[in-house]
Amino acid sequence: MKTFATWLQNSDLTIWMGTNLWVVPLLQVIHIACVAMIFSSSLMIALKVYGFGATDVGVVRVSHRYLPWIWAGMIGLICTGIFQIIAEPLRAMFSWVFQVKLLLALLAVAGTWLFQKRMQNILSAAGQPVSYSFVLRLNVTITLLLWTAVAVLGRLVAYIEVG
Amino acid sequence: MESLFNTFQNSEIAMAIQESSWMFPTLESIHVLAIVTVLGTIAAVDLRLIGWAWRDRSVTAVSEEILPITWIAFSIALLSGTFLFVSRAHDYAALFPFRMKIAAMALAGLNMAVFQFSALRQVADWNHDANALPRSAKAAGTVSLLLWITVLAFGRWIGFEI
Repeated sequence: MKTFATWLQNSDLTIWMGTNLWVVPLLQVIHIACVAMIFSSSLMIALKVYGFGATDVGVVRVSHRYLPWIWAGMIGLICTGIFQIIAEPLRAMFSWVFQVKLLLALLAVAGTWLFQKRMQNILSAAGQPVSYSFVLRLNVTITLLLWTAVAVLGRLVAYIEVG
Repeated sequence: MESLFNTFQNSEIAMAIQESSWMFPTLESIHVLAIVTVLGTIAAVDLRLIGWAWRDRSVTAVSEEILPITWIAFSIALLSGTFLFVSRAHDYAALFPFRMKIAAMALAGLNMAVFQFSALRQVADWNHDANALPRSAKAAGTVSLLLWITVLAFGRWIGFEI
């Protein structure tokens, strides 16, 4: 892993990003905009599951509106994230904060996927009233907390040095 | 103004934030979470104004549902941002990206006020029909979206300059 990171550190792309100082900030801005898409969409879904918000739409329609934004945001996060790792491979790959962030992000993706499955099950049982079950609330709450932790750890990567 | 910023920077609270190892990162994390919520929720309303999302829901239903969250998040961003600013007021005030971020926020506020007192007054005419959205509403939504992305970009830029 260290050999790979060192090799990457000396690659043309890393050197190019290191000499063009606008590249990393631009990637970071897109990365945070994607976090905005994911976090706000997850928040809207969670609030709806808890019964907040307008009454003209239910949880299924709200999910239908925001889930594609979450998945699109994730694609953006992964793309800009990969390039940020390439920009600073040693700092990224050997930081425990970054590793925990990745693990929690994977769990958040799993939480989002589970929620989507539940929504599909509700859709296939059309006509029956949607129950805001304890499990559904637990699902959205944990997912939102995971995304919160991912965003916070993302900021803390800059503060806690590799060690 | 300069002396005021110096007073801020030398205040007890500013010293406490500067000397603590956890206060600045904590404030910054709260600030980032609040900003992403402001940007994401305001984008959802802007996209309805432009006519790209929630086309079958009324503009007022969408904004009444979402904007309270935006305002709460904005208040948190403002409060945490004020503490971050005070910690090094003199240094931040001199930064180009900081000044531009404040200017972009002021323009976003102005855009909102203009919209509130012009196109929104006739909202009844186009509230339910996304095909009847006036140009002024679409323009207000587009300008708002672009300005908030600008705020985010200048905000990130500050981190590279300070």
